[in-house]
Amino acid sequence: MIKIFRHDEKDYPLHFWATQFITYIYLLYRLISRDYSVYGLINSDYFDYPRFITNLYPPKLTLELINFHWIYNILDYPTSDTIVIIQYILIIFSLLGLLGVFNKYTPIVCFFGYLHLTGFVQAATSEIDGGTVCILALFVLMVSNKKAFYTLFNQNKWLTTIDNRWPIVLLMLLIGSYYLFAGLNKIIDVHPLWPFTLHLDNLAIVMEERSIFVSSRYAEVTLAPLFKSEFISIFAGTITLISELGMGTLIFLPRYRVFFVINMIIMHIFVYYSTGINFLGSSLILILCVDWNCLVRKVRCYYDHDCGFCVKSVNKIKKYDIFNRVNFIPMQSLDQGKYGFKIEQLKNEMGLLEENGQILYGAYAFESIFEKIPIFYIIALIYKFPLVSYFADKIYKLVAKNRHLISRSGCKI
Amino acid sequence: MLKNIHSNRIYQIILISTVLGFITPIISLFSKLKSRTNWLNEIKEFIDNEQIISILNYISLIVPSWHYENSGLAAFHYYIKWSIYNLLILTLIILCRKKLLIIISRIKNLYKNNTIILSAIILCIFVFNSKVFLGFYFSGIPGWDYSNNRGFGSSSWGERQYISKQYIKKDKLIVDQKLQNLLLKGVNLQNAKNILTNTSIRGVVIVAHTVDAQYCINDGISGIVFPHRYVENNNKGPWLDIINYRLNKQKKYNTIWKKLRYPDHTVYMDIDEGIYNERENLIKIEYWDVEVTEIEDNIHITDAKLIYLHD
Repeated sequence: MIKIFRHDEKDYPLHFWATQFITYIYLLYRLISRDYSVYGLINSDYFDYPRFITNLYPPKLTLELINFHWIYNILDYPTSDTIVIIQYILIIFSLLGLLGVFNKYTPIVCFFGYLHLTGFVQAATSEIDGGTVCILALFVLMVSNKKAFYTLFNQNKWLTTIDNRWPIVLLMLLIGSYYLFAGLNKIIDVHPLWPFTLHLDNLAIVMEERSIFVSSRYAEVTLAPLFKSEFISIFAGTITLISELGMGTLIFLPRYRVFFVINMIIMHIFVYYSTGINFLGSSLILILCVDWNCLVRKVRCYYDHDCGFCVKSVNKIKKYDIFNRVNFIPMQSLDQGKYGFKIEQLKNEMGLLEENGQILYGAYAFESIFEKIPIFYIIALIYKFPLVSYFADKIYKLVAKNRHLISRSGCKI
Repeated sequence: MLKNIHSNRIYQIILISTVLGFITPIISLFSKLKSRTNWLNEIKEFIDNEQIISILNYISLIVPSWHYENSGLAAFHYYIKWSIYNLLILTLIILCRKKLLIIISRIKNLYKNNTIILSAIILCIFVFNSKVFLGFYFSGIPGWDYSNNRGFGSSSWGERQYISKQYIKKDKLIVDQKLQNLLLKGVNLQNAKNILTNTSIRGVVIVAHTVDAQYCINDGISGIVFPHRYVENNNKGPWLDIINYRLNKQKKYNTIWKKLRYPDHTVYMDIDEGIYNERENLIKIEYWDVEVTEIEDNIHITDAKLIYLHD
């Protein structure tokens, strides 16, 4: 179950390119939608870091050194027009990043530029504006090897390299820890039994009250009755807490990665509709925390050619494998011990060899096959939910044991 | 540099972060209290012992202060719990030094070829334990629940002080009809009818005036994150300018873009779209503390008090 997502394996560029594309497009979307220039109208006296998270340490000695707000100790705070110019420059650079131009400098400008803009929010009213994971993704791009980026003019080739892999490990580590911290904070700041004290039923009342006044933060009042159930409150709290803590396992517990990510996305949706706080865009970066390259890695699948049922199943799967990701090979052609396979086990269960040399049998081999063939993606997704693979394994073993009864073609074993 | 870093050095970094996480919340609490004019009175509400108060007063004299008057003060328990957590971790780190060094050594060996990932792991632990806020990375969103938030008196504009629900049937209208009609524009009548049954609720209606028209708006127009924090602390600030500035920008958005654009971090209720077609600038914004009551299946404003005026 525990399998370290290694940083030093060669991998395809799909995931990294997706990270590059999604991060820049999300940044671009944020920048053209939001208007930071309004902070240019606020009196500079008011930039006093009012939130307790930002001012636990003197902001001038920590935060301002990183987001370059220290320059306003020398210069005047910028006017709205200056902030508009900064925002336009960032829009241009995020477009360049999206197109894969100046890959060495674009992430640096976008990271520090966006951090600088967010600094106005932090100095004025709030510790975040929902863009933390975007900034973390930009940080990952900033420290990545520029050879890994897709480019507009000098197209990088579809090669497997380590440089495609370790930035993804870093992304999972940073995003995972960010959510893990939120989960740990719930335990430390509130209670280890946080789901039991969450009381969404009280939030439901707040939502109803908010819905009366136009001056209020958004609340979707039709959801309020759902939250009034104590069971739902405890259930939602438990799932949230488990998933937030589980996000810390992204790099070594691959099985539940999708489950945790989906739960976090659902949580963001509910937070939006119940409290009017928008983290929805973080979902885009969260999607990058699952292993995209599993879709393009090729596998070798060893099946029992003497079994009619197996041959029939393989032929059916082959029909849908439009990208030829799975190479089906009769196990009879395999020598004992080759690649680490056990022939005896192969007689009972289908075997699969991943590109990184990992061997899977039975239902787990099927899971990997489903990840490679688009028509089966949904099944591969269901596999990632807790206990599904356990039951799939049981069912597979039951079917494998009785395959001679199922198959009309007969099984020679 | 990190490539050859010794496990002991990583251990020391974790140790320092934990010590910082233990000490800083306490120092910060004192520093923050000192910046508030009535901090001693606030403390006295919690601690009823003159000796302890005088000791705390003495400590506050030697603690440096970096906070402003408006610096948000989280509930005391946050600071105390952060310190206690780090004290426990500190004890564990010291007691289990050898085991921790083995774990550190394993992680270090795993990532020995990639100092960026190793640095990121150290950064994660350092940031979480020390609670330092680095802008692009911090120790996560704090935890809270709704156990003490029973709705009445806890929601809407200004978060706490402006809404209160009263189970008193009102049958006498003390607000004149003209003002009533205006303030009712800031109330969702259908939701009010569904939720209020022979009851009243207090809340805020924000009225924006042009020379010859009035609109009920909300602070969401400003585009500022958690704008009420700004308004509450700066009721004489350039709020009218901010709202006019943002309104004039939003008037240029076309309808499709208004729907497609990524919403602000704090999302507010929909307002009367007519304001975006208004040619004139706003000349004043009024914040009314109102009481909304359901009387015989109709919604009325049964009390109204002007609380802020920006002109």
